[in-house]
Amino acid sequence: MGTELAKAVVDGVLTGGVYALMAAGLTLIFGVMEIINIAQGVLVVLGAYLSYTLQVHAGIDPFVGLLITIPVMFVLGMVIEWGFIRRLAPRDRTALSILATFAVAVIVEGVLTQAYSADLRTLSAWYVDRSIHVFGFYLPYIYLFGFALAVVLLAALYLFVYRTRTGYSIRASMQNRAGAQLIGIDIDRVSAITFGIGAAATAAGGTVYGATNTFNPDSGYDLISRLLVIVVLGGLGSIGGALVAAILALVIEDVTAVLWSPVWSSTMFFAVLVVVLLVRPTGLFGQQAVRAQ
Amino acid sequence: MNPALVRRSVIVLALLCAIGFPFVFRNPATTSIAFFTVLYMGAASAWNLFSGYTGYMALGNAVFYGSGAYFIANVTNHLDLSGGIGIFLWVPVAGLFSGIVAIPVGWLALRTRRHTFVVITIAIFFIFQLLAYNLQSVTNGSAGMQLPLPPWIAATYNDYFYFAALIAAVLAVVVSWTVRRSHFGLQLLAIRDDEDRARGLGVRTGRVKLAAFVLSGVLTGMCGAIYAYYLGSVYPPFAFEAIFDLTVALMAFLGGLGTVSGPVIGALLLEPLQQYLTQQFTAAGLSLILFGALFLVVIGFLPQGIVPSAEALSRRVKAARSR
Amino acid sequence: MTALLDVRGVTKSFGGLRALDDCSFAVEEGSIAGLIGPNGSGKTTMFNVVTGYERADAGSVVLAGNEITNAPPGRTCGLGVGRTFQLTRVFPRLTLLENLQVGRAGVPKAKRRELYSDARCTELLGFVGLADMARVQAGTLSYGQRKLVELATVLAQEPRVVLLDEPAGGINPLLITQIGERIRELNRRGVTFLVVEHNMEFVMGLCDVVWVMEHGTVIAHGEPGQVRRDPRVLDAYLGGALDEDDQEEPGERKEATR
Repeated sequence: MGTELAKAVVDGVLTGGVYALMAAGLTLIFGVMEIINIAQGVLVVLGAYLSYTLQVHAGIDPFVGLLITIPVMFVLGMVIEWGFIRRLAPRDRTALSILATFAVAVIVEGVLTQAYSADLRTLSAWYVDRSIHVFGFYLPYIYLFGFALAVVLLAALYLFVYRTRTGYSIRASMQNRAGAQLIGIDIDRVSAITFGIGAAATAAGGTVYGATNTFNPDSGYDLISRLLVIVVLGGLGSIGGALVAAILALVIEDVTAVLWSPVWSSTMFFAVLVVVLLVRPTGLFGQQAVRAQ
Repeated sequence: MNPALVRRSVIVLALLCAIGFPFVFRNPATTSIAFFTVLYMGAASAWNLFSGYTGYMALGNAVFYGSGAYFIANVTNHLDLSGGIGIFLWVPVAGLFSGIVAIPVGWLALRTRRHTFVVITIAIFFIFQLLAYNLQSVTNGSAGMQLPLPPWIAATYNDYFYFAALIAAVLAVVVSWTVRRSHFGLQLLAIRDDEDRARGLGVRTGRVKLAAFVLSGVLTGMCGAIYAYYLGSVYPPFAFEAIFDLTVALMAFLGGLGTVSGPVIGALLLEPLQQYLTQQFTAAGLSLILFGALFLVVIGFLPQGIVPSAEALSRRVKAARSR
Repeated sequence: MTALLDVRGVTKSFGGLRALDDCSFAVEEGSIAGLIGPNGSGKTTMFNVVTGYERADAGSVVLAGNEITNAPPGRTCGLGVGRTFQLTRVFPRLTLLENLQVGRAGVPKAKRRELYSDARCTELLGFVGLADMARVQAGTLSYGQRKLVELATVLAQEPRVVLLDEPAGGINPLLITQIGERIRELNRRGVTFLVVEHNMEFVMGLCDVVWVMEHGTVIAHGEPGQVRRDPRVLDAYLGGALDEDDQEEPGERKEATR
């Protein structure tokens, strides 16, 4: 039981890292643009399919393929922002964005269904089925690689947001949208880049997700529900919060599977959010701030 | 022409058409579409009652739809009822059950601010879907539950359900209209415009929102029960369906969020279209693409919805004419 | 005359910043009191504490002998404290009539119908000159008109004391005069007022008594004429000309130019 429990915790941390990366994109988008990108889940699935195509048709290893999929998804994100999000009326923006991104998600799901059918797929590579034997238990390589990728990308994201000029613009826009515009920040450009980053994160997440799960176009729903839970749990707009929340939620889910039953582990994942919100309605690291309406 | 008289005549006429519809169009394929259209009129009005009036986007109403469905499934099974009109009497009870479910759900969800609220309704939806899969003793898990088969002939089978749905829809619309004209409705709309100020003026925002939420739950639950009976069986992914909320939201949106006739018009336009698309384009992917694209077009060009846009247009016409 | 609103020793800090420091004042029933002071002296915070939008760390707020300290805004409203805001807020998608009728909730059922009837509310709108727009959406109104609507909304609840937060702010002189007249008319009918304002001409011409705040506490009070000449007040404003500059200019001392 002890080792199983330890393994569950480790698994939770490792997968949590990957979810944190995808959730970071989502929370960043909310923080800067005040919109909830429902399409984030299906974009992960799209990322998985892109990796799959590169692997099956061009023999490119999924991780190597990231060199292609990340830029592609980044551009796609910017296109989505420019094409659909930017045109939303400023009033009721958040509500409209939910519907609009939900519509985009449905469209992407439709495209994927047409292109790939509803068959379940998965990514395969030497590291997908093998594990490293360490400290008495087996850690699948893919989890380790995925976690490492997540750490690297999150670090890169951190550096970008806190050390570059564009990152500065992003942070300024998060604090005060109107104020940022007044000091000359091109909010359209910032929004496009932010959305692009959010989508790029899904490319990375998609590769790992695709390697550790079987997926089909329908998988987007489960994913977005989890990402939303993580983002709200961590506090909307807080990247650090998303990281903590992702690891916390996934560890609890995996531990529940061991301690109670795998049947209830998914339910626990969502229940954690409910419990936390009972105590802290703004999430773990959310601000109490009432945004001026 | 007196506008109130015109409006009343239109309503009476519409009702007469609705009642007479299955007698004129006897084809079961057509009445099936009609059934779903009317059912969604009710569900969309119920959704609008809370989300449209308060501005809080609830994307978890499927919770009530499914609760109503499972309630009626359980009742018919445990009481060993046989199919027939009598089962419809349990629909309002199913609605009340959903309303009771709505109390803790609403209390929990409404503790949060608007953005968080949306997410928590989604999370609660997934919890319920998972519960449906896992609470085997109550829901029979993924094997689903069966409802008794009514003894009606194929030619008129749909008609009974159509009328049941029509009653539910009319009820939903009447409730929406009554609320809209009441002080309760005024408080909801004030909350939509400026919740803090409403609270400052003495509105008990917590109670008011919860009341609307529960009311919405009751009506949605009734629709879910009718739906379950129509299908004859209840399964987790159909009772708790992710697209349901998106669909009713789009309908209310298209017609006009926060108006009484908006959801009805939205359902009238969209449901037949959706049914048509799923029948014509068996390629599931294509119908999704079209649906999503339609959604975006509606949001882009008619952000206010049909009814408010029409009203604004008629105001402009009147203003131009009076010059 | 008894004090309708009695505020004693209110202290309120925001983190390290002490916004209110043992602040006390009283408003006599039937009077129009003014609350003035340089920017940052704590006037709006004081309003917020009195109406329950902020909690006081210490001190008490008593209305007609009843303690209402830290009662939530919905309750203070129901107890007879009306309040307008610096940044005028209306319910944009509701009609003017509906704007006035929202607050109906806090009132016992018996009084409700009569108090918030269309007739009475239209009359109130007429009082501020907007009766013919009763069924227009509030969002289409100009800023000045919204101010009037906000005033009417507060009046609809038949308050005993009305706190006005910069009623003359952001509107043209003609409207300012109108509002001043409305306030005087209401006062004649028995409504008590406490007005925060930067427009000195407005305050001096309208108020029976003026309280001056600085750094979260009251430094002077009395009749407008008195207060205007009080050296402590001149010091606080440090610009001398009380009808203009509120900005503190360190090190400078001017004679009152009047």
